[in-house]
Amino acid sequence: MSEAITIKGLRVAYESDIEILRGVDMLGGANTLTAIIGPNGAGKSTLLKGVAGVAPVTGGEIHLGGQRIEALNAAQRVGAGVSFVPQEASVFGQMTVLENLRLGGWHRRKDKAWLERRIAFCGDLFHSIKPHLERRAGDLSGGQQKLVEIARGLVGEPRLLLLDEPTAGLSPVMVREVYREIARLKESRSVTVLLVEQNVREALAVADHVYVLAMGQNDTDGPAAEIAGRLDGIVRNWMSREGSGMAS
Amino acid sequence: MTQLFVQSLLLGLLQGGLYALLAVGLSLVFGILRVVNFAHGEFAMLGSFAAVFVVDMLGLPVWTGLIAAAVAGAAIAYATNILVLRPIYLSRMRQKGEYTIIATFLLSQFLIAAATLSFGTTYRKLPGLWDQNLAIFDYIYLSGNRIVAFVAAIAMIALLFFIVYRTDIGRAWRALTQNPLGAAVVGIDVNRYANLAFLASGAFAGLAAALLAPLMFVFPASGVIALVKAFIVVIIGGLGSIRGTLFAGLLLGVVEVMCTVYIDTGYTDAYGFALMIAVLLFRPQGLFGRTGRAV
Amino acid sequence: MINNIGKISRRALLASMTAAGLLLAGSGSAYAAEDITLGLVSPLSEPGDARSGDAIKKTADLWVKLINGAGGIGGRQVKLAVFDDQGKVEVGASAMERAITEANASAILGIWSSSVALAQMEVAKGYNVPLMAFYSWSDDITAKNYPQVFRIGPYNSQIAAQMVPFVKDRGYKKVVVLAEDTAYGLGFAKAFEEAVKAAPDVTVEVVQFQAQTQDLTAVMSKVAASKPDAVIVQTVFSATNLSIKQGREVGLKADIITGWDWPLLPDFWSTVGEAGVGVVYPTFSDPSLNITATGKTFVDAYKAAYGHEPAIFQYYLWDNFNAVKAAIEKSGSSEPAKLVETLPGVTFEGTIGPVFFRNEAGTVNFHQWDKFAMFFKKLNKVGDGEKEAELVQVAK
Ligand SMILES: Nc1ncnc2c1ncn2[C@@H]1O[C@H](COP(=O)(O)OP(=O)(O)OP(=O)(O)O)[C@@H](O)[C@H]1O
Ligand SMILES: [Mg+2]
Repeated sequence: MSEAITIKGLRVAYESDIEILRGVDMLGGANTLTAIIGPNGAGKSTLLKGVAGVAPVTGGEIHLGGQRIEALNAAQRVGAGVSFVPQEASVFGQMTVLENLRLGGWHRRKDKAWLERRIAFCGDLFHSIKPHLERRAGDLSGGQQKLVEIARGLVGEPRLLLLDEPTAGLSPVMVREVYREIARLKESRSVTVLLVEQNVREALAVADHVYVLAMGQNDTDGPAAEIAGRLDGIVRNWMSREGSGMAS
Repeated sequence: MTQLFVQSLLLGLLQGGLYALLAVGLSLVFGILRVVNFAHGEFAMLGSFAAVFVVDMLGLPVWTGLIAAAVAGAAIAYATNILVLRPIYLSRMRQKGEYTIIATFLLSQFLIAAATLSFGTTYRKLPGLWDQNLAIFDYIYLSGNRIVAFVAAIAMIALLFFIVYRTDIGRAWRALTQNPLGAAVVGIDVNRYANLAFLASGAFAGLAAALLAPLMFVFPASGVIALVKAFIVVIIGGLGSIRGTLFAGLLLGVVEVMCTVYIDTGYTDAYGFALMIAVLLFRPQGLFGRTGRAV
Repeated sequence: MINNIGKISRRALLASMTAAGLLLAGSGSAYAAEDITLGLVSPLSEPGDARSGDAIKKTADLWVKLINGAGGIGGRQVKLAVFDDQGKVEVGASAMERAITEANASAILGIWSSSVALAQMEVAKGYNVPLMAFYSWSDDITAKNYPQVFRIGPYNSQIAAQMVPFVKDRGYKKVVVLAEDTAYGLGFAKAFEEAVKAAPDVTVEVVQFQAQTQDLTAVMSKVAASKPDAVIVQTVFSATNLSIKQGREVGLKADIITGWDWPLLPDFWSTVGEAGVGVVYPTFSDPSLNITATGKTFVDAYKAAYGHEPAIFQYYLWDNFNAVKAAIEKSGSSEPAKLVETLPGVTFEGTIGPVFFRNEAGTVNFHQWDKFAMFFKKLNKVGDGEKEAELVQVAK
């Protein structure tokens, strides 16, 4: 079911003249997990937003399997199998957790039986939110809300899952829950994952391949094991640039 | 309770239902797009002219005037979204909110001028569905048109409630209102649902104006009054809250009539402002507003 | 070389500019000596009383056409500078200022709403230009005794005084004056309260409303609940014609008397429908009026031009114009200051009798002509006009 993602020379600019991404290349093989790391402001989130269609792409190509998707709008990309769990809060606070999950299957909402099955399945994924399915999402803790977002992102059975710092601010128990689920997804070999993580070591443990971004461009990349080997050098390199992450 | 009290309460509620219908689209559009639409009153005004055109000039039955008003209001609202607002909120400029305010304000001035040129400034009248004065138990006195207008307004708001809480369109609207980014990532097409919101907003405004027309007059500047009332209602009720809009509309109607009758007949319009300022002072998010806006 | 061209062209430019300037100045003064400009500042669009504004404009156009056709005033042609006051105080005042400074008007006519007129009076005073009122009823217009302000037409306290005997004869015990919050509406209410002291068994309640409103239902509910015998509706804004309809809607049973003869305006019946039956209006017009030769000329020309009879206020406006004409003829000048001096002393044949101003300083009868009788008429069925209306009383 899943597809490879190929990104070529991707450029993104939120406002007319300031380019945040200045030509990023990336390859994520089908059913693999690619981790994206880099200093604050490197453009990691911007890359995922560009792929999800919620940030304006000004140049480059995005291929999902055989399909070019960079010209599609966000809704069409969801239809093409892209699911994005952004770094920012994205739950619907006045709706219950179940209603949030229901919206996760928006593009296939006419397929009622499928939708009910997926809601039931994803509602069952995380112990930390399972008892709260009938509560309003806005009343849950920040960590619980993040889990709702991740579960919602899985309802639609995506072919490409974009996770932007899914564990930031989560308790250790919840972090374990998330990584258990990520591992399970990898095992099922049904989805290609791009994972942006600050917890570099956790990410490297599950990743197949790792890309390092800096200042809106590719810095380096390699198989997870290789990157893990030279991680100290890479991080030292960031430190010297910290605070100048913005491409300008 | 005296007869005057009951009569005033009823009049206020009847008037308030129309205020709510007038304001509900403004609130809906704000919730979904964060656009304060200053041309909303002109959707209403053009709707009432469409009704005059169909009923007075073409000689069609009165009920077709209501449909014409809703259709005209919806069409002009749709065109506004496509031609004026979408280029702004799809653009990559800063301060889109400010630009939409300026753009819709200029549009409202343009529409008033265009209506003045096409129809002149004379007051026009529209027959109603029930042009009869009723004396209920010789105690309450109302015109049939007022009852028709109220029943229609409440029916339309009930329909909107149904759409918002029971249909996919409503689910999409609520999602867009509560978290635009969340709505985007689950694949809700903002353009499509913004268009639908504008259609509903314009239809409700046009219909409200056509229901009011038999009780008052139709003229190019009428939208300004409508907009002021609608603003007061959405501020009292909380921007983006439909429940709040309904409640605030009824409240405004009752407060206006009660204060006119029991305080001073000379300041009808001022009571609404006073109510609005009181709400802003003590509950700035509106009576039904939440920090995270809820439709 | 380049410098040289620059010099030449600059000199040439200067010369031609001077020549053009002279030409312009010459032509300007030549015209000023020929034409007389009269300013017409009236409510020509809503929310002003545009129906009356239209009648005013028609009267003024006709007068200018007739005068110019007969060779003008002392051989000089007359032209109108027309401005719209929209029934708004600030618009009216600035329109008047423009009529004076831009159009060089010799006098300002066509004023309508009292509130607007009161603001315009200050402009008239500032520029020392005559301001002619004809159907603006606020007492203050003449009571302020401005040398520049004249009125050929009725005023509130006089009308109120004439209404009291009518109210008494009809046997009304409880009367509500429904007054718009303008100089005209409130001025009448005050004058009526004053005048009604002559009839101690009549009680009066004044109910005030926002002049620009379209919904008087709440106000009328209150009026209806107090169960008056009669309601006198004092308003000039056409939207408030709805008050009659809205009053009946909320169960008002009282007789309705309008403050002036607006039920004769063309949109009355289409606005109020059935609710207009039984309405009594006061008017200064009746077949028993003695129309002069001047008046006949006016009425005939008006009917020929517009196909219907003029209303009585248009007679007064006609007299206004003739007063200015008489002053120009008498003084031999169209200078505004000269007209201010001359106008108080003019006498001429008006449309319904000789016109002259009463000039009793310190009273409302200053620069005021007031010879008119008041007729009370009743509309007995839908569509009734002046001809069908029943004369119920005459006050002299
Ligand atoms: N909506 C936006 N409008 C304008 N500039 C933005 C926007 N979002 C992000 N940026 C800018 O783009 C640059 C990259 O931001 P981005 O969020 O992609 O970084 P990041 O690598 O995800 O950093 P972090 O690790 O802190 O999340 C930053 O300089 C940021 O200021
Ligand atoms: Mg980020």
